[in-house]
Amino acid sequence: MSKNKKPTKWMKLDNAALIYPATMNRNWTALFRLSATLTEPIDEDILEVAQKRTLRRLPWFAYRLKHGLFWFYLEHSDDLPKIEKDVANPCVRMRLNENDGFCMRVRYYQNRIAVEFFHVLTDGTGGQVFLQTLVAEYLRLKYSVNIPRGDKILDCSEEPKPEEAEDSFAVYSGKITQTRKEVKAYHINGTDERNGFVHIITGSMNADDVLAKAREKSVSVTEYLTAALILSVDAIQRRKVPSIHKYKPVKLSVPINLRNVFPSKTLRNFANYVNPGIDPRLGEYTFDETLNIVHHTMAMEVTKKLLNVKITTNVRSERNTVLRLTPLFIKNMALKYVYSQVGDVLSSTTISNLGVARLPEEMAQYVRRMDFILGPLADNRVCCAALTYHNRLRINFTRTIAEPWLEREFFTRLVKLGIPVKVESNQRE
Amino acid sequence: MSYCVNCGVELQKSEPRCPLCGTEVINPNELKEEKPIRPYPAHVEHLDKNIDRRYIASFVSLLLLIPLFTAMLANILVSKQLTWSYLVLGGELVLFTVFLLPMIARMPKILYAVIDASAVSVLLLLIRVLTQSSWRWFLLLGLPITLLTTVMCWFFAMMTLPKCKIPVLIRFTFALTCIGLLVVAIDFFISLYKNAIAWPTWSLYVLFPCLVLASSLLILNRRARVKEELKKRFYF
Ligand SMILES: [Zn+2]
Repeated sequence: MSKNKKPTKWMKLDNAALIYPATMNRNWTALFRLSATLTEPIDEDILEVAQKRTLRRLPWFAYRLKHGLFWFYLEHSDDLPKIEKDVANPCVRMRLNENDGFCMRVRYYQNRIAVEFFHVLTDGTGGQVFLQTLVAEYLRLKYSVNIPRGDKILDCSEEPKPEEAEDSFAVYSGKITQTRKEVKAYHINGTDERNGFVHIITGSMNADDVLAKAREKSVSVTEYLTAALILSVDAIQRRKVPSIHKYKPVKLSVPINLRNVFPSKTLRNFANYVNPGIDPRLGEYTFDETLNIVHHTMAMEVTKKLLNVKITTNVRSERNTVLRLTPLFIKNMALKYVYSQVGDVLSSTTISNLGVARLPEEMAQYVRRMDFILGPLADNRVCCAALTYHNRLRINFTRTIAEPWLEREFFTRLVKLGIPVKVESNQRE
Repeated sequence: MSYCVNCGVELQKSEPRCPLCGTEVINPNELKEEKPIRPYPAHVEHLDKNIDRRYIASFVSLLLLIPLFTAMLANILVSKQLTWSYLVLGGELVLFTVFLLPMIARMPKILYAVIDASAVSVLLLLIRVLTQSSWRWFLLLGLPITLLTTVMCWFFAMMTLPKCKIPVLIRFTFALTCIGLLVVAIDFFISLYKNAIAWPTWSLYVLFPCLVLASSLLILNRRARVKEELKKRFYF
């Protein structure tokens, strides 16, 4: 490795990451998890070597979160995170002091390799590149298969590329800002799970089934699932809230991968959110009506121009001189307050669809299954994430209350819509 | 294939009951099969521990106020002003900064050393003021020895960090040399206090064994095999 190409020793957090260290606390960290299930049990030693090689190619994942006087920053570490054994409650808070300061952890169980990322590092797309590269390295070391590398599965003998660590928010922000006032959404509440147990229920379905249903209504799979989930939340609110005057809007936060809109190659955060939803006070919505609303909200909001305005608004507030010169601990309190006003509270839950994972045939024969799980959110007690692989669409629900209301409502709804669903979970025996 | 009769979803074989509604799975045709692997291990990572330590430390700090106030009250009642109770204050300050503060607040380790040294110095200062003894005692004995000891403790703390790359035997060499030199320094300050700058005497009896031991460790360090063996046996 030539000296001048070495990764920068430290870097600023990207614009979207700023909020995560400020809102993290002893029992909660904004995490998400990607996993790949192989055909044979995982060999820890090989996994460790694969991790080492992957981190050399993708040093942006070997950064530790540090306190500066005014901002948090990320500092590169030459050490390697420990490979851990998986636990029953994935995405349970990450304590940076226990984790050697690393913002990610690799865990394995039986045939499965899982990587849990703290959101300061990256978003789902960046995480997926990391996982796929890690698994490709693992397979290469274990079975000496030659896997073609590209921009989704990186070549570990190459040097890290600086554009992969770019803060694309700053690059693609424009001139016009806009603030919009959004109303708070309905939240599902239930019995707190003691000790922070995180419930996971996975529903898997045939991706072609879902695609056919979505095509029938001329919408995308994400829109179709979003509409079904909105009506599921709506049904719960109608059951639990006695008076129609007390109904709150049901809105879902749907992450949008900005790499599809802007030509960015970054592997750090580059996503924004759209919150489609309905107002149940106005009456009962049919599935078609809801689909229509979701479809058109997305069409209206997911445009280069409007997303650019949103990015610009966020980047501008970061560049505010008063905010910049505020000491970190005060800034943290301020950010915590801001988040409590404009974060999770604006949506009833989140549905993050990472789309279809396509692996080259040489690799696909060793990878049986892939999953995407969101960690528990700050305020919302249930959220879900979807990923399609090998024609199976898997939706993972993450829940921190005891009652599986939303999952039951949602999956039975899909069954009624004519999509067979198979479920599994991490429930205790 | 088993379906939940209540929800209409197919259940993975590993599910003992429907995760959506809790209905038990009974499939008369699949009773004999062995238990399938569950999708997640049984071990649960719990939240807690750390919170308790911090909580208890804060609580104990509050409890420390009770003897302090009692002492002050007694002091005022007896002598109409605060005198000896300042010593209780200083003592508790040292107790708090050395033992409780690290559990309560997170800060760079060098700050702990600085704060601890200042607390001890404050205690010494209080002792000097209350005993009406001369400044020489404080400036020539108390303060220098406190500072030197702090610096040494700081070095030792640095060396016990897992990040420290120095080989273990070299660390012990360094530690032994430090101890030897500290004793010599204490000897020097005592003689300075006694107004007679003299050649170190009794401290040499400590320094020499330390140096001999240190240099033998240094030699041992070069013998890789012996080193490996010692490392194995005295693993900590
Ligand atoms: Zn059921």
